[in-house]
Amino acid sequence: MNKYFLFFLFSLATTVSYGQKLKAVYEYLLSPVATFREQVYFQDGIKTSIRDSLAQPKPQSTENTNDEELSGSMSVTLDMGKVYRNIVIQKNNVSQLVETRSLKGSNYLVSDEFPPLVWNTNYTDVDTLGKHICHKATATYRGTTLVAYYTNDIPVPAGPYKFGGLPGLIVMLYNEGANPHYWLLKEIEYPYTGDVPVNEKYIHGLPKLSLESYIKKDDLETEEQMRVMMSKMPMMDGVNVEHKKIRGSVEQVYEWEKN
Amino acid sequence: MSLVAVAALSNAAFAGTDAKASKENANVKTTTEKLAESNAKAKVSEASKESKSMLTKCVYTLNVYNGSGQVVGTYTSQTYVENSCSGFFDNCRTIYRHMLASGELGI
Repeated sequence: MNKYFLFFLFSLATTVSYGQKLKAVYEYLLSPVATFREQVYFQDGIKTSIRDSLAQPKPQSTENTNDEELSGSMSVTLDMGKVYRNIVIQKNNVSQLVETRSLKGSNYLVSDEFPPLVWNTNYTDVDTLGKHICHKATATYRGTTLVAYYTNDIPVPAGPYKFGGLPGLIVMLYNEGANPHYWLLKEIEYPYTGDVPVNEKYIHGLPKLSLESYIKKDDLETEEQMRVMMSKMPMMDGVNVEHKKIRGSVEQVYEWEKN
Repeated sequence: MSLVAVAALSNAAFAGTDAKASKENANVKTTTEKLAESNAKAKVSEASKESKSMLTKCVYTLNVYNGSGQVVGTYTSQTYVENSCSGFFDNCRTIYRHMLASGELGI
């Protein structure tokens, strides 16, 4: 009985929330060298996520070497051409979503057969993040585990990037793994009265690719750049240099890469 | 099986272990000085072991990111030094900065 009541409440809240526009701004930390600002809009069951093309200025140096330590590091960024805003447009109850992605200085419209997120909300954990009381939820997603904290205070099933579908707005989300990505809610306007700053005509006029084609092309391009870099590494007597390829995205394993 | 036979087998087994250890340690040793041709494996093994315990392992990592800020790979340089790693780190920094400045890192 309780389950039916909760489902009814969730359905009601979702229906009511569809009528009101929401704008949320997330801080997106995807690596030690890059923090982006991501704006999320939600109206009539359509979620639009817009990530800035430029990273926010970093207050500290990325070089980390302490001579007293036994390890040191330095960071470099590959020049892979102009980077455009990443825009994700996702409709509720539709598995396919579209997003814009940059490749070799060009912008593409990429279609993604997004796997449904099955959230496990059977957690008793309750945390206060900012002024929001948040509940924990987890889901398996493309080779990683997502951990989300959502708030029932804002009954909008939205969240950053491609994520959402919880009873309330996602306040914080990260993926488990060696290279975790973090999204943290920074600002919210609810109800939001402005427009979504996206030119749909421009977006739908972009050259189209499936996500599989895009990822394969992007991987090839990165591998080629890394191969060239490795060939230029100087040989030092007594020094062993090893190269390790890393997929630093949230997605670790795609559907077509399984088996 | 006699006691002598057991002792002989044990020696053979240990000899095999020594040879393997010697080979592994030799890889470490060659990073700092050239090893002479070994005609006494047990002796070389012992010397390498002492040498390894005196050496310090230094690891310098070059993290590579794509234009979106995602890590796409690492280059790990590893060596053994007698004292501090600072000289090795200075060399790595100088080399990578030079490569950056001359556009050889694809930046």
